[in-house]
Amino acid sequence: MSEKRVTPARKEVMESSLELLLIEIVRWFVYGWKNGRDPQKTDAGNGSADVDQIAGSLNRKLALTNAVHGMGYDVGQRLIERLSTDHLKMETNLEVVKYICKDFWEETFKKQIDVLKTNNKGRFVLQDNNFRWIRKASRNDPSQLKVEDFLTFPAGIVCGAMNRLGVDCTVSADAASAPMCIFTVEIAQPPNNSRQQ
Amino acid sequence: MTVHCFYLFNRDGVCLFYAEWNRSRKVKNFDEHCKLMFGMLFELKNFCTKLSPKDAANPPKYYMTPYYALHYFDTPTGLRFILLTTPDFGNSDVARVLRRLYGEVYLDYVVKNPLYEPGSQITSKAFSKKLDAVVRNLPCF
Repeated sequence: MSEKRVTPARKEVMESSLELLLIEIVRWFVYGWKNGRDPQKTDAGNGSADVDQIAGSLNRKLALTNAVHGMGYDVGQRLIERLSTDHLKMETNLEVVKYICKDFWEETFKKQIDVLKTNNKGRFVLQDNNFRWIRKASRNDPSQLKVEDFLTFPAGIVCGAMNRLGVDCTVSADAASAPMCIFTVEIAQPPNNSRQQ
Repeated sequence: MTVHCFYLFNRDGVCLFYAEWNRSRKVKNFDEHCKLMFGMLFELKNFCTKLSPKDAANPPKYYMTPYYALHYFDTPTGLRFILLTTPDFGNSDVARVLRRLYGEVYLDYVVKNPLYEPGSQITSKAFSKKLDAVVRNLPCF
């Protein structure tokens, strides 16, 4: 691109602090918001659970999906405002998705999406073969967390970013073969490539 | 010249991880063995500081017997990394190696592992694989 960047100079943040913060966000929602909580004592893993405990753990999972996804959504919206300032206007959904796969992913996750598939009916499948935020995850008993829990936040980011660029969509993530993960973007609009502004 | 085994203790004396490579004498009662190891190191560290001619914290780097050398590295958080090697480990500063294990393996694969519960045993395969790889590549292996 021949245009000069007008965004201010980049400042850097230590990646460890971001990684640890992201881990804690998920743990906070899964294990509850009590001080000095002990995961071994939470009711989510109990065999004999009463109604309150079951409701509690379901609520937590729901809270995880909704709240953390929501957090990612807000972050994604602001992030895309900042990152796409110098980019040309994107006309079609495909251009938006390609921008997300290349420039946005490069800025946010330090690499580009490896495989992009579409069924041409509004569904895009983004495959990242080594997703940065879960590449250190490895099953360690006892743990009630799963790798998927840590993908709700990035899925929210992608969702917020795309919505801000004018594409109404939902995003889900799958980590069946971590560290490879797959983000599925379902576009809510009728399957025609041009967007209304 | 080889490495025999590796222990990782937390500040409460719980053995978080143990790995062995070339150990001919097997441990019979692992819990007792860990208590013995931790207690010994605790006292050893105390002795080293108290009997030191200089007024400064003086943790041991290693101790040596005719058949093995025990290398020690601890962090301010109470984590203790122990490596047992043969006595002819050469000039390599194995305590420095342990520090590398802490920085490259423990920090990356345990602390930053989202699925790890702080304070629990380390059962993650990624950690044991990486540790194995690093130890096998040591000059003193």
